[in-house]
Amino acid sequence: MAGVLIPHSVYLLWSAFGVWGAGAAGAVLTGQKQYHKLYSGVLLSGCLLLLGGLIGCWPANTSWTSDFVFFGLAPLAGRVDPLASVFLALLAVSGSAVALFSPGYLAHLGQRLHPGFYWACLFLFMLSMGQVILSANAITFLVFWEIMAVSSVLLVATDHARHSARLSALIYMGATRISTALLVGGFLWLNYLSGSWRFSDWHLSSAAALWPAALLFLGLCIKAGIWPFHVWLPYAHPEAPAPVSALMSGVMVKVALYAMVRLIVLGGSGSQILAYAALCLATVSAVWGVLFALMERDLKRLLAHSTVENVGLILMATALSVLLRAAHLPELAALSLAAALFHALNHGTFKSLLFLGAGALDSSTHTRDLSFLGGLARNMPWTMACFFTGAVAICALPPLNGFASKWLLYQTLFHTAFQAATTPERAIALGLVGVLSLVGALSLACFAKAVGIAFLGKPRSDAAARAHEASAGMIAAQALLAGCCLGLGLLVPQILECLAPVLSEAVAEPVVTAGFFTIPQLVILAAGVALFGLARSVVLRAQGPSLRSYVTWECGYGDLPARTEETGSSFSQPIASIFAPLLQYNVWTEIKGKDKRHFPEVIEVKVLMVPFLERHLYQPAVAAFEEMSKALVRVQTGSIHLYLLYVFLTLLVLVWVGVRL
Amino acid sequence: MTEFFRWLVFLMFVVLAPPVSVGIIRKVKARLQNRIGASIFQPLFDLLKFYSKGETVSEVTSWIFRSSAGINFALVLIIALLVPWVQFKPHVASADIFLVIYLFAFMRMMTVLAALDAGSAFGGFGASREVTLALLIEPALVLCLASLGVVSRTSDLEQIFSFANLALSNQPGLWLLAGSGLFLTSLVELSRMPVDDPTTHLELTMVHEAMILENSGRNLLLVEYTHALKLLVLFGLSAQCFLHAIAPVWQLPAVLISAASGGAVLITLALVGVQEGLSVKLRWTRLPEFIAYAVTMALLSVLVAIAGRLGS
Repeated sequence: MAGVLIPHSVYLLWSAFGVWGAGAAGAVLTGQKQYHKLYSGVLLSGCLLLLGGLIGCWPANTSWTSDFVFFGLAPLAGRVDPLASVFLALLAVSGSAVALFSPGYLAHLGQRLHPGFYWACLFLFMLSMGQVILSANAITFLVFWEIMAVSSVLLVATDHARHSARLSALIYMGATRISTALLVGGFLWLNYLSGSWRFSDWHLSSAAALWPAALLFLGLCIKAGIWPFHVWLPYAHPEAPAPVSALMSGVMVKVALYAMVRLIVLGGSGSQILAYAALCLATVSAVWGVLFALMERDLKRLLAHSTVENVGLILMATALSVLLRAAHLPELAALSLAAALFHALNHGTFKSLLFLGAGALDSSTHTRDLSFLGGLARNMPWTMACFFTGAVAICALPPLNGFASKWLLYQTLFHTAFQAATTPERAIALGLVGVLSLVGALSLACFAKAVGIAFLGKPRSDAAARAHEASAGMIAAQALLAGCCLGLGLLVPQILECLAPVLSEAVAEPVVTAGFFTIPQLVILAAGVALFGLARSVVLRAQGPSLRSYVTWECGYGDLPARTEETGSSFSQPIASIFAPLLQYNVWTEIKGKDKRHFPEVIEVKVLMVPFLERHLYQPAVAAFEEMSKALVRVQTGSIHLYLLYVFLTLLVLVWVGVRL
Repeated sequence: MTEFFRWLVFLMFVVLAPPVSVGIIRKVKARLQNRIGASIFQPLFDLLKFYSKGETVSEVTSWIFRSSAGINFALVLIIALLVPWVQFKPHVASADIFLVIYLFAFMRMMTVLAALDAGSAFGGFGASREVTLALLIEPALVLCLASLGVVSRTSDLEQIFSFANLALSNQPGLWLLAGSGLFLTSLVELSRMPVDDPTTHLELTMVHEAMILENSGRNLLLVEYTHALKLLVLFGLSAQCFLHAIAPVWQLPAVLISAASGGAVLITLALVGVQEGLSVKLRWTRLPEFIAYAVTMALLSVLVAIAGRLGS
């Protein structure tokens, strides 16, 4: 190794990747055998080693270059610093939860799962995400970026007997191809400008670097799921097994955002055009994502759409920090970047939690459709409690972590509204405060629906009525993440202090984070618990015979069936009708029968929603691509004679070119 | 010692004033309709009655149903401590705009979940309407408060609403716009006329009452009290805006400000009573039009807040 002084903890860090690599190899060898507990142990020990290594390394800035592994153009090179540590910690925590969750969850997939295939891909996925975060040059980054893409595509196709899983894997693979192509273009361009593959040699502040920066930005946007490139997300995330969706939504999209911060923000890009473009895309993503999440009836698709919203919020904060840095407001720029990084961390924890909850629900009821769920709070109390915690966190309700990061974003915008130099900038900032509150209200509606329809009320199907609580490991995984949500919410000043080195590097001056977050969340929590206890013990205390259990009020008609309950679709119908043009929302009703006015025999109601972007942007694009392919068919007929002719002609052209030049 | 008395007075006010304020609105409304109406203390007696009554809970419900009443009670007390809805409120730190907004959101989350918990169609309808209305008014509510904050360069509500705040001391237009915006959004948030009729017994037309249809006994006591305190806080906040709007015209001596702030709350409550006596409940589909007025007020106050600082 070329590094001069490498702390011992870095070896701990590397050993985590060694453990995962060994796990992958072992899983390939054991093949069909169901060693779920063994591999979950391996995954967990890797995560713990990683976490231990990170704590040991903190806050050192260590880099290394391998003498043994060489990727053609550059050697394997890595670096661990506070920014990378934060995202690796997220990977380790989510990974631990996935390790605890997997054995219980995989049991319900039964024969549809090939254990060796699943575990090998999962280990590779974890390993590649970690290495992408650690990579210090473009070639290392691309190699692991590709392993990350391929292993996750394979994991999406785990249940490949189903057509929808194959389709999702295909769509997702297409998205990753375009993303990588753009990244390669950007990397080559930057290498041409700087003559180096190392990230630390790249400076994006020059005017010449605008185009490669734009290429990188677009490539990373596709992977992060920013509007209008988010269409793969609601396909790929729900089809993957729940632990994988948790990792994809919780960590993988954050890896793309990490790369954006690492390459573009810390690379020193000060381009106003790029930052304003990012701000626009981010704002649209936030509104669009949550609006479509609200309309979903599939719980995991709902969560995937909500990821688009949150990624939009993170990108909004990131873009703001670039703009504020360019406007010479370093303190606000630091605040904004803190909001972005902290929200990335928070979203990673609560989205993983919610996806695992959806997985627990799926494994117990075998459906994710909200119209067939309901009443699970009694049969699955622990899962419900954890899912509720996740929902409270993602709706940014105090005192959990979601509130803290959203509050930081609000504060950035609010302070920009009176500190910015020009009136349009101030107006944009205050306008975004309004947009943010709209997004907040929509996401509250969305998660009130998710919790309320899935867990409360009467069961809407037999499967929901027969549901049973998830296994102990699955509950432990969710409880771990729920605890993280609370912990991160109460330790905000400490977390921000950990981010301080990154912020200082970004704004090129020392940053003190002490005054960033002024809300005493612990005091609020304590006051809330005390007052709740008061209400509980004085007013709501059990009243013996005077507390009577009875049927829900049904106007005296007798016990009404669950079909009279509010469904997920009817819950969001009033909002859908307000945003009908955007959602392309239509309700089609048909009443049949001889005297249908008074005695209808059949009433049929259908909700018709056309995905706007897919219909008007992607379908025409795919159709045009297919037309072009048809034209190519004429050239490629399968005739060997024709191919020989092509070879000959190509040779002639090359000879001619060679002679002329 | 004065701080102690301040807390004492405030706590007594928080305990007794909410039911009475509901009584005042009802009394004004009754007088406008040529009825004598019940005593203004009737809601207080109702609460006492609920305390001694038995409670019926649906078999379908989970822990959410009964806890939500307690959680909302805790939340509304925290909000009442933070929001400067009367000037004699004791001082507390970090009364941040966005914290308060999200505490209100937490209350809404719990109310909506409790409404869905019993699995009744009425509760579901009410919950669905509640979140729809909330998303329409939320930007207006936030922007009204944020535009006041932007001018005074702080997001601390206590500082914004303090009479010692010079940045906002000569901004009657902004106060009036923000106050009207707040007043209109409060009508929606509190399910008052013309958005929702708090007195009707036809469940299908209701928003708030439909959501709490399943609550009874002591649970209902908590819910009713919580709603009344929320009403007092929100209308109190717009009352303070109106008071600030007329303050430059009518220079108040410092000693009278506390009394005047209480009086402003009373007048605003009477105004709500008059408004309820005169208006009819709007059809559900026409509500966005009504809310558009609140949004317009919010946008105008944003405009004043941004453009008012053009020169500086």
